[in-house]
Amino acid sequence: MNASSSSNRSAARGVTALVVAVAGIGCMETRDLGSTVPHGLLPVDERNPIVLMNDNAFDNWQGEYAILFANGGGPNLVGIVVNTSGPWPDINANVAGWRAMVAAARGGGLRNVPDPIASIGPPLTRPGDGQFASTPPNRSEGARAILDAAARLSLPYRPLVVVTGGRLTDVADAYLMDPTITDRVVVVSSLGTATSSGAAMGAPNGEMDPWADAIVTARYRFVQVSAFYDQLSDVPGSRVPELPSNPFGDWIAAKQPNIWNLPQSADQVAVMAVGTPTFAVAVERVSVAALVARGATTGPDLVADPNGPAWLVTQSTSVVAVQRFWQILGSPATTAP
Amino acid sequence: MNDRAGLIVRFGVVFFWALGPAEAKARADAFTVSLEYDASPECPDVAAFRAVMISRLGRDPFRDGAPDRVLVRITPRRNALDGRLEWRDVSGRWAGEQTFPLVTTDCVRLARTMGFALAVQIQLLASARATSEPDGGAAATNAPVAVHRDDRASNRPVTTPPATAIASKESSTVSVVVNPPPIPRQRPGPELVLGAGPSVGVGMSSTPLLLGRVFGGLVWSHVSIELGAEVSLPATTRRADGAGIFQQQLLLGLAGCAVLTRWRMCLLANAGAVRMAGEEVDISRSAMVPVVEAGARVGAVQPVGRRVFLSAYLDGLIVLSRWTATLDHVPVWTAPRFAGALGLDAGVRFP
Repeated sequence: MNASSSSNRSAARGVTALVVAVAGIGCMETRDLGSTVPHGLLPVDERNPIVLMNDNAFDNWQGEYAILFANGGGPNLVGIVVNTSGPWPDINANVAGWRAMVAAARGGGLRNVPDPIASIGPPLTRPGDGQFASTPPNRSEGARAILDAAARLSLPYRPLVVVTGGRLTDVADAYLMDPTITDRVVVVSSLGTATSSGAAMGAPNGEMDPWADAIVTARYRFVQVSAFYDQLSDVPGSRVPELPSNPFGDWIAAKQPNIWNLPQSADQVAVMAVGTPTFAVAVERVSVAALVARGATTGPDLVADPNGPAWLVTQSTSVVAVQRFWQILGSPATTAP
Repeated sequence: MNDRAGLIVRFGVVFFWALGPAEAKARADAFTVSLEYDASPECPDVAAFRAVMISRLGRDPFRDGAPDRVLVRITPRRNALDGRLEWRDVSGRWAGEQTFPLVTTDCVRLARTMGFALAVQIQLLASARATSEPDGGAAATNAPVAVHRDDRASNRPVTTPPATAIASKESSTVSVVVNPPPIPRQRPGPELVLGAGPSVGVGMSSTPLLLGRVFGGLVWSHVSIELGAEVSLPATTRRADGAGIFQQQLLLGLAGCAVLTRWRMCLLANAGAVRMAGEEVDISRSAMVPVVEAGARVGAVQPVGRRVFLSAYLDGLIVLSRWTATLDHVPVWTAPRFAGALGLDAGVRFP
């Protein structure tokens, strides 16, 4: 080894040491350059992706609203989970109805309509110790679909929304499978009734799985929509001739006479609350009054609480949502034969 | 690196590859001298002498005020003529000469012979200057001709450049004593350089960033210093929903370089700010974040003509003051620890 190579090595070591030293003395600053604000009174809006969850496809317009909104400004419909309930216990019949709706929508030129997923799982049972963690999960297909969609699509600033029109079993089941799901999901449910002190998680839909209601309200960011309207006004007989002459128009026309004449069956209010910022007119913050007891037939009561973790929609207006329904239905994409 | 950055790199490589021979010829053609002509009335006048030179070289090599001067003297003696080409440097000091003693009174012939010799000398000087000047003339300092100038008595009869042989063929009766013309020594003071150019930066945004800079500096024979101002085009880094952060860099840079012929090895320091703002969000905010970088530069300089030059460089930088830009309190962009830039400059030298 000569003096020159030794000198070069020393110089190289010196340069390396200098680079390491300089690199180590840096500082870090953080600047927040903006934030998104929900477009309405609720924590989510039409920019959030949604998973739709219901039992039957024929008693209201929930599926139709979700499909049309997904084709006209959002929210994006990323999943449809079909389960059962007391009035609609036949999973095969329920799924067949939803498949027919999806096929009609696709035949009518609508896009972004996912295939329905049949979810098998009974209502959850309150364990003896009353602990959520002790509840045996169903590990249902619906719960897996929620976990999968949340993993793919949920963002810290734009979580996945599970919009329910039936029991909350699969939502609670997803929590039992992965408790961290609550960081990535907001639940918006057409459920229960507003009361003088807040809301009851009874009919519609709240009575179907009280223990699931308890888990969801305690663990998720939860929005209860208890403001219904006369859903017969959505597609009155006088407007049936205005429906597009395509499979989706035919589907709506065929379904129109069978829509229930019962405001509480209008499960689409949860879709409207997410997709139309003006739908929710009055919103309260609420919290759970107390955990449900063994054998309860309804979910926990919600009481008004300005600092409560949940939202309760007590008044709504469906005018804008219904206008959107018809506007999108009449757009070129859905009027093509 | 994106397409735009790649295009700049390819352009730079092709440009420097193609520039060498053409640039050397251009510099040789640009070589000029100032002429002082002193001859007796029976000799051709200065215009006729210049015409001889122009016809020999295919261009006019004379320009008033050029730093290299040549004195052409033809002095009559009894039944003879004494011709002399004398070179002087920019400060007027003697730098070499060639004598043409002629034992006739045919001054036209002598002027033609001297013109031919001078044309050859100018051509040789131009060629030598074209190959030695890219390093700022440093190589010329050690050229043998400089020794000749300082040792004129001993070298005068010894050195016989091509001019001697050519002149002898032109006029067999003319005997020539030659001291070859000098290549002027490098000036002792620094050169001022000014320039500008684009660069492509990486590690400054989520995609390569296009920057532009202006700079000025002083160049000595072995070192140089440079001060520059640099600004980037705005760049936006977007998150999944289309919202994003806009960034623009504004920097001042100082470089100290070692000059090795056409190469430059530099230490760099940049300081400035990054202008940032949120885009496509419901509530947008803006900010200025200070930036301090330190690093090294490797570059090469390619002269184009006597004053203009092009240079290419590669910077490696350590980002000392890093930053994270967030939207909804979620990081969208964090400045990495290291950054780099690849650039091309065009500049002008001032003596």
